[in-house]
Amino acid sequence: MKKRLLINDFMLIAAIIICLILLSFAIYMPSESDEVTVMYGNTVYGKYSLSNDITEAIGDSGVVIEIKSGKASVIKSDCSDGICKAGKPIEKNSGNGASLVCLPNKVAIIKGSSVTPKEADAVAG
Amino acid sequence: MQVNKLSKISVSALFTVFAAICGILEGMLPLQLIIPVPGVKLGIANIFIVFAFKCLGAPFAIAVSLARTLLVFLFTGNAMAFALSISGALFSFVSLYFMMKLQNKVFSYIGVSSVCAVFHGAGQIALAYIIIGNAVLYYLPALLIVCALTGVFTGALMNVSEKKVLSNFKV
Repeated sequence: MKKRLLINDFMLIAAIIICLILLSFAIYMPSESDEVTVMYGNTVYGKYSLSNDITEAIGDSGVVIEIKSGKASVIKSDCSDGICKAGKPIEKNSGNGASLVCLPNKVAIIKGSSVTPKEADAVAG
Repeated sequence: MQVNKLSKISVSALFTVFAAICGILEGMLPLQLIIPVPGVKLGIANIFIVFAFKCLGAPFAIAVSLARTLLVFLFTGNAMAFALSISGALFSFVSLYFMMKLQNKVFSYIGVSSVCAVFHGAGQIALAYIIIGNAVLYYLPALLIVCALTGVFTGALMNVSEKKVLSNFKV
């Protein structure tokens, strides 16, 4: 194996990882927002405060979310993956934009309240 | 000429089966317990797609890639994973096509495999973005960093196994 090729490989991978780490600083910045937005099929289903405990079924999606002790999580989903249930709950100090996504049921819980129906429609269009 | 084409079809069928078996076995590994990022896989199946490209050419490699995705879907029945996998496979194939022109001149398989893995992850996120919107962008940096690192692992495997595999499947 040529040493020069391996050096090129690691320079390339280091460049990719540095770019992604810089991007992650922007995305994973902690925020003190108290709200989560629930999206269902690309439209805003509702906005909930992390301070109020609730358990709610999201429309006819088969997904049930729970906000308890300042943490939002998915407690029930009829999809086979279960990735949303296994995801880390969203809490007050989670990064702005932190999310739990159930792709098969098209449900997402997103930290923050900046997602507006207009933005959501733009995504859908 | 005809014999050569038949040999290529037979070898691509073998690569497809190897890749599908690796894909199914990888799906059983609880990798997300160690790396808590949704959809994370080692990507060992991609070794066979890169080798298919190397010894059979681009058309056979894309055929192997799509056929193995379809085979894994038939065994697992997970439609969403199938759609994400197709999207990732197409993105990753575009990058593979260009990276293979640089393979052994500028980069070894480690560089090729890492870039392809990153494009595979980006392709999956792109489809998820179309389905559900910007909620999935939160996973983008973490998923792509893990993809780059798993690409190093599969690339290293390709570097050490290239001679043996390609000498056995010379067409």
